[in-house]
This record gives sequence, structure tokens and C-alpha cells, in this order.
Amino acid sequence: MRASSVLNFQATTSNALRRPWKTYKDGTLFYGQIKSGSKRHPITTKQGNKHFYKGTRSTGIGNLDSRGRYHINWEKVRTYVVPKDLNTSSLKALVSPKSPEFIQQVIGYHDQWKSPELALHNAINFVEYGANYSVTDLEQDGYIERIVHPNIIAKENKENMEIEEEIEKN
Amino acid sequence: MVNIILNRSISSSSCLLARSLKFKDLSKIKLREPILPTINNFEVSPDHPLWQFFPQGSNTTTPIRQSEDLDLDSRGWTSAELRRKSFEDLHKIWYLCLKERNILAREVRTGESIGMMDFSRFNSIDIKLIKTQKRIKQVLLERQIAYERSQIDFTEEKTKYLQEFRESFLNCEEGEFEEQYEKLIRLQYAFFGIPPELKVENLDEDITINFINGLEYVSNLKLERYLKNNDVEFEMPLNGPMEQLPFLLFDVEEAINQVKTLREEGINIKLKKIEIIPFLKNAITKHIEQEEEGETTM
Repeated sequence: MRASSVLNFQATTSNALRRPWKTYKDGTLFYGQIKSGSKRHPITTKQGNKHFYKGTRSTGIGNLDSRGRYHINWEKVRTYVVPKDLNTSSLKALVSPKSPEFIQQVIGYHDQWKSPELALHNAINFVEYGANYSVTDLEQDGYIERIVHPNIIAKENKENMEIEEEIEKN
Repeated sequence: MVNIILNRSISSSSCLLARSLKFKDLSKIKLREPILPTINNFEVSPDHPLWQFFPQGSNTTTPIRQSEDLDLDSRGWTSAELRRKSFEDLHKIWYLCLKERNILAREVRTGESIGMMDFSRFNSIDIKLIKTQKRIKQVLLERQIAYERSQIDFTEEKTKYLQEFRESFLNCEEGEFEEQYEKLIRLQYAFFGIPPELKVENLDEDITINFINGLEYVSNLKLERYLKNNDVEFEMPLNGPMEQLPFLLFDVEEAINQVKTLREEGINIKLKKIEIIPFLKNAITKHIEQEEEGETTM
């Protein structure tokens, strides 16, 4: 039985991750005889058998016809999309040492910037207030940009209201 | 045998050549000044693309910058700064870093060939640029993950917001309408990926299932609002994307007229699912080309 057909019976994620330590029925390891050492790396051009082809993506961009002429397939040729106004833009590759660094804090969203909820709220804010919805004066905020979940803001406001009410009563 | 013949032929021809090679009076031959191989003897256009490998382009005077000329104090972009930038700006910063790194690499290679030993100053700048590029990748990854997750999660909240917007759009006053309409254009961009200005070259990427859903939402919204405020006879609902598309491209009045003519001619067929995307591509490219023609004739 071939190695791949053994694995087809148990193609779960955990099994795939434990693959090097899986053995065949006769006790030999799936690949490599050595258990130790790091070996889950991308293979190079010098590895693999005779069928293994790993180019540099610089050849094989066309085909030869029967008369020996080479026809380039332009879909296969790599292209670099350079922004049009690169030379006229005011951006620089490096930032001036005088420009102050600031901190960003994401509060109340799970997984910070990768949060889908934050993405949704940003989209809603964009619709409601236009492209400049997130413009803040960093100097005023002490160079901290806070992105706070609306629920937390509402909760804080409520608490503040309660405190104010108590003060008024007293 | 063959060798002998060859040898003879070669030797005889060489003799002939030798006889013909006679110098005339050498004193009469005029020699010009030797041309020195310096850079001044080459004419290179100042627009030559390879000048981009030099710090000041064609005005560069030295092959390798001295350490005083290097910008050692500047720092790389931080992730926080990059997060506030648009995709276009990130694209530009990436390429600016790349150009700067090319210049540094060229200088280091030139230095190596001369035998310079210390490149730590060049490398310190290069590290800043590499870090900036890695941070750009990181920021893009964050956006990509957030986008992919938002396609699956929080769909309930999304539909809830769309419902809320629908009500506010239908019930708004005449005075607020312009503002609401601008919001609608932003909404179709943010939620359905319908850009404010459609371009032929981007249509392949733009027209997706999301685009079709957006078309349905937007066209019905515009039509309902119009029918509510104006007394026009019109049969609801719209029959698929064929009747919905005019509401995206034209004013509501004209769209209604177009749909009416479509219905009179009886060509408002309900498209099969597989036909929708090709139909939209064709129809929108035609519309854009017609508009461009109209502009040029104007």
C-alpha cells in the first residue's frame, strides 16, 4: 500500500500535523527514519524525485510551436503594478524622527484589528460619516488612539450618569 | 591526405595574406587622440529608468554616498501609522521602500567590488525599510482576516443595519434626501463592493455575488422611495438583475421608463443564475463605452 493511501483513511487535521511520527503497519515512519530534527520545510529544487519541478517562476512563460518559434503567453509573464503617481506623492520611505510616535488601543473587540465586529462598525461609520470618520487630533489625546466598542462607551456613560445623579441627591 | 591538402591550402593563403600586408609609409598615417573610457564620453538620457538606482537620479555625483549624506536619523513607519493609511498609500509606501532598498543594494554591491568593508550604516537603513515592508504585509493581513471573518460572522447585525438604513432612507424628508443618497452610495461601496465609479478594467473583480445582492437592495430601495413620493403606475417587483440594473446606472425616472419599454417589448426575461454575471459585465461595459463616446462628442 502506498503512503498516501494509508493517510486517506484518516485525513484529519491533527493526524496531518502528527504525520512525521505516524508509522506504517510494519513500524517504519511515514517519511524519514529520524524522529528528531526539524524537517517540515519547503523543499528546494535539489530535493524530490525526477518528477519534482520547482521553477523560479521566470521560465515556462510560453510554448514552442512546430517551427521552433517561441510564443509568449502574456498571462504567465509576471508584472509589477507600480502606483501611477509614485514620483509625485508626498510620502517618503522613512519617517522623520521629529514626528511623534503614537499608540493604538483596541478596547472591547475580540482579536483586536482582526475583529469582524470592528470591520462592521468601521463600515457603518464610513457610511454614516464619510471617509474621514476616524480622524482624531492625536496631540490632544496624548498620542493614544483609542478604538472603543460602542457598548463599553454606553456603559461608561451610564455609570457616569449614575454618579452624577448621586452627587446631585447628596 | 585531407589534412595535407588543408594544410597546404591554409599555408598558401596565409602566404598570400602575408604578401598583401605591406605597410605604406608609416609617418604619413595620422593617429587621433585615444578616447579614454570615462563616464563623460557616454551620453545617457536623464530619463533613463536605471537612474532610479541612484539617490538623486541623474544628478548623482558619487557612486557611493558618504555616511554624512545617509539619512540615519529617520525611522521606519510604525504599524500604528500604517493602519491609518489607505490601500493606495500602502501601495505607494511599499514601492518607495523598494526603490530605496534598490539604491542601497546597488551602493553596497559597488562598495564590495571596490573592497569597502563596513556597510553597517547602509544595513541599518535597510533594516528599517525591511521592517516597514513587513509591517505593511502585517496590516494587509489584518484587514484581509477581518474582511473574511466579517463575511461569515455578524451577518445578523449587518442585515439589521441594512434594514435600519432602508427605513431611514424611505422615511427621510426631501431636504435630507441628498445626504441620504450620498450615504447610499457609500453603503453600496462598503457593504456590497459596488464602487462609486465603475471602470471597465475592474469589472471582472467587482462583479461578484455580493454585487448582485447589492444591486437588488439598491434598486428596490430607490424604486420604493420614488413610488412612495410620486404617483406613478409601476408593477412591482423587479424581475431580476435585467430590470434592476437601470436603477444603478441611471436616474430613477429614466430607469422606470427603460424598464417599461423592456416590459412592453417582452425582453425582460428572468436570467438563469449562470447568465447573470456575463450579462452584467456586458451591459455595464456597453453603458460605460456609450458614456465615454457621449463625452468625446460633446
